[in-house]
This record gives sequence, C-alpha cells and structure tokens, in this order.
Amino acid sequence: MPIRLALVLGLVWAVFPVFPGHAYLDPGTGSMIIQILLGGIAGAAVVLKLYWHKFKMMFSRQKPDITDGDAN
Amino acid sequence: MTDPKLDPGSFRDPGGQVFVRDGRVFRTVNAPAAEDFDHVEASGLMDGLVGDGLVVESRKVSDDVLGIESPGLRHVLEHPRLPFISYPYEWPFHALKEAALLHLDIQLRALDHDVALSDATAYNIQFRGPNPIFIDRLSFIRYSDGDIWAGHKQFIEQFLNPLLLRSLFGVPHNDWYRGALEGISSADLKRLLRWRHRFSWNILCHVILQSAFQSSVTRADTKELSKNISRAGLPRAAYRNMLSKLRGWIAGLEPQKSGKTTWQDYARTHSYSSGETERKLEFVGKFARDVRPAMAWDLGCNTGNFSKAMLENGAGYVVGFDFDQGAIEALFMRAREEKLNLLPLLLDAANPSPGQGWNESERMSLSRRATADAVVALAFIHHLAIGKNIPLDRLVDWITGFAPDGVIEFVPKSDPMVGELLALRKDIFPNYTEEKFREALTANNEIVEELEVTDRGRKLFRYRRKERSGSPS
Repeated sequence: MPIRLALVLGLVWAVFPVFPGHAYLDPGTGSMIIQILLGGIAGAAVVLKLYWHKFKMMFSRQKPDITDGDAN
Repeated sequence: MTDPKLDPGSFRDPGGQVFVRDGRVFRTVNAPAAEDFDHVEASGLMDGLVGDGLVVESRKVSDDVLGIESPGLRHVLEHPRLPFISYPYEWPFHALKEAALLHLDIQLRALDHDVALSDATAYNIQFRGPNPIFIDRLSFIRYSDGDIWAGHKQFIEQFLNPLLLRSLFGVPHNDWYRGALEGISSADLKRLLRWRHRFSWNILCHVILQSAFQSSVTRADTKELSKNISRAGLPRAAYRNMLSKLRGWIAGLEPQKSGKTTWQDYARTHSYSSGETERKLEFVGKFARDVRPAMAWDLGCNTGNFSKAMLENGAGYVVGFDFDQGAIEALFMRAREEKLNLLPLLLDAANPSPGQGWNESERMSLSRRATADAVVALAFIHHLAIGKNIPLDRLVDWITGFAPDGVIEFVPKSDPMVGELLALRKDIFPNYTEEKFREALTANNEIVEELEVTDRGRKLFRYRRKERSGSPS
C-alpha cells in the first residue's frame, strides 16, 4: 500500500493533488498556494513542507484535525 | 434637496459606500480606507488611469453636498453618473473579456505605483458604450513587494471561468452567471474539464490546481501555511509575470464555434426588401430627431441598424437588447469598431433580469434600471405574443412602460415571419390583430404617427404617453 501511495503522490503531485481532507472554509487557500508556488523557490519550499506534513499524516493513525475549530 | 439614498448594492466594503442624491452619485471614504486612499492619491496613478478612460472620474466635494454626518467620514467623492448599469450576466462574451483585460491592465499599471486592487469583482466594471470602465475608487490599496494577489480566486471565478465555459465548451456564461452571482467556481468548472485540458499550463495552474489545493487543504494546513507564508510571498516580478501571462492568454480566448445563431444573419436574410428597410430607418431617424432622447432602448436590436439610426439622429446613448447570442456578440464588435455610443446586452424579454443578491436588491432588476427617454421595438412583439403566448395588451404596456416616447412595429398574422411562428402550432391567438394592438396602445398613449412598411400589413406606430390628469409629467 505505501508503494502505491508513494506512486500516486509522485505522479499526481504536480498534476492533481488529491490528498484526503475536507474542503476548508477559507475562500482563498488554493489561490494562495498557487501564487506562492509561482512566487519561486521559497514559496515552493513552504508548500512542499505542508504537503510533506500531510504525506506523513497519511501513514500515521492519527487523522488530521477534521473536527477542529468552529464547525458549524 | 432630497435625502441621500444609499445604493442597495453598496455594503460589502466598510471603507465607503455609494449614495445617490438628486441624481448625483457620491462615494464616501471612511476611516478604514482613508490611509489607502491617500496613498493612492499621492501615487499619481489615478491621473493616468482616469485620463486614459480606464477608471471613472471622481472629484472631492465638501461633505455638506452629500449631507451625511458620520464620525468615520474622511472624504466625499462625486462620480459622473453612468448612463446605464449592467451586470456580467447580461454581457456578451467579448464584453466580459474586455472587462477582464481592463482589470488586468489596471493592475499592471498600478503595480508600478505601489498600488494593487483589493478584489476582482466583475461588478466593479461598467460600460460606457462598448468600452469598459472601472468604477470602484476604493478597490485601490497600497501594495508592497511580496503581497499576494488577494483577488486572484475572485478573478478566476468572475472572469476566467465564465470565459472558459464559452471558449472550451461553447456554452455561454450568462445563464449560469445569473444564477451564481459570484461567477463560476473552479470546483464546478473542473468537473467539466477533460484530460487534455490538463496539458494547458494556464488551466492547470489557475483552475485545476487552485481548486485541488483548495479542497485538499485542511484547517491545520492553513495554520501551518499562514505561519510560513511571510517567508514566501509573491515577489513583484512574479506578480507582474502572472498578470501579463493571464492577460495574453485571455486576450486570445474566443467563443468556441457553435454554428451561426438564428439571428446573426438576420440583416441579410430577413423577410423584407431594402426599400422597406430604408423606410423604417427614415421613420426611426425622424423619431430620434424629434424626441432627441438622451437614452434610448432598442428592444430586439439585432444587428443594431436602428440603434445606429437613432444615434445618428440625435439620440445620446442607446442600450440595445436582444436574446440572440450571435447577434448581440456581433453588435458588440460592431459598436467597438464603429465607435458607437451603444451598449448591446443580452435579454430574454420573457424573463428579464430580476432583482437579486442580498435582500433581492444588490443587483437591480431591469425595470428598476429603466431610465429611457425613448424605446423602439421593431420586429419584436410577434416573438413574444405568438412565440411566448404573452397577451398583446400586457406586452404593449410592458414596452411603453419603459419610456414616454417610442416606436413599435406591429407584425400581422399575414406576415411570413408570423406564419413561420404559427406553422407548427395551433393558432390560439384570436386577439393578435392590428385592431387589438391599437386598442392596447391607445389605452395610455396617443399614436403620433404611423407607417405601413410592407404590403402584408407590417406597420410602425410612434406613440407618446398620455399625460395623466392631475399629475404633471
């Protein structure tokens, strides 16, 4: 399974990230990520770090904090 | 002097609101926006943008002119009144495209002055004739190197995605946009895209990835991201690059060929001869010379020949309405080429734009925006009376309700065009006669002049609304 996951991540990373998660309320997060990626290496590093964190979370039993915050 | 009236669509920005008083348009600048406003004033940007016709003129006036007292009030600006307010769901493809390019051009010029636009709503752009103009002075804010483009997502949803819908799939944006006032979301558009679209860097970047990142990011991720974003940011050169790449891409977008629409060739194929057209043009020209309307509406404007005749004979401005995409698209291009003071808009007369948005008044209905001095409806009523079963008397009331003077063409059942409409259906219109038409027209109007334009009985009627006793008009 991890091999398949790694493959999917590797392939899809640049084209179509489909990480598990849920839609967040902030209307601009996707746009913000794209822009800092376009902004260059520093931005790419921030996004990479974020997704590395998400990648690690996929192997841990602990789910990302879906219930966190003021779900309405 | 009347009391100032707050524009019902002006509530989102605490930095200021739009008021109308005695027909004059004012914008307040409140404390939260004052610093940005002063920075932009001092930057010298606005002189160029206003001078080149990209942004609407504004001048500072004394607070008493508006007559609003508020502790946060810093400035009062007056804008010239625009002839007609229209909305992106009424614009043809090329109007939306010109509006998108205007937005990007303004941002590109603003960056040089350390100014950016705080949002990218299409409703901040209006038209003067076929030329877009940016109307919100308070959208201009300070920019510093590294700031991201706050309006990027909004720009994509309100300009790019609606344009792509037509350009990639041949589907006009108007109906969808009218339903979803904030534009077409990338998540929705993404579902329509095919595999090959992923090979377009622009689509991948601005639609697919943007939307995918959006839906994959959790609350925890956002916290993480916001901690680190100050290290990243968007350098000025990258910002500029993104804007100019988008500009180049959008400038090349065209509607996907979806075949000629019914009315695009109407001028060449319609069922009356050029002598009849001449007579009609003359009649409408004389009408415009007599009435000299500052604002005229042309219902069912088609190729715009009669709009143009009015403009050449004393009309100040014409808004042309038609329900046919191809016709209105062609007329928009014609108005730009021939520099006509004409704004062509899409309208299904059987279903005009309603009041909508917050409290149903943020975006005004068509009838609330009716300020016409004259209306013409040529080769129009049979489409509604026969094609849409709208009772003739109500139809006449609807048209004449828009303006005190007008010209309406009556097209009788003996006309081949009406014959076509009735060819495949039962004639359930015993009241569709010239006699009933006259009756309906003269209920509230007098007939000033009439002209038979074909031997099959097409007639032009020029009317003037009767003055109501007791109320001076």
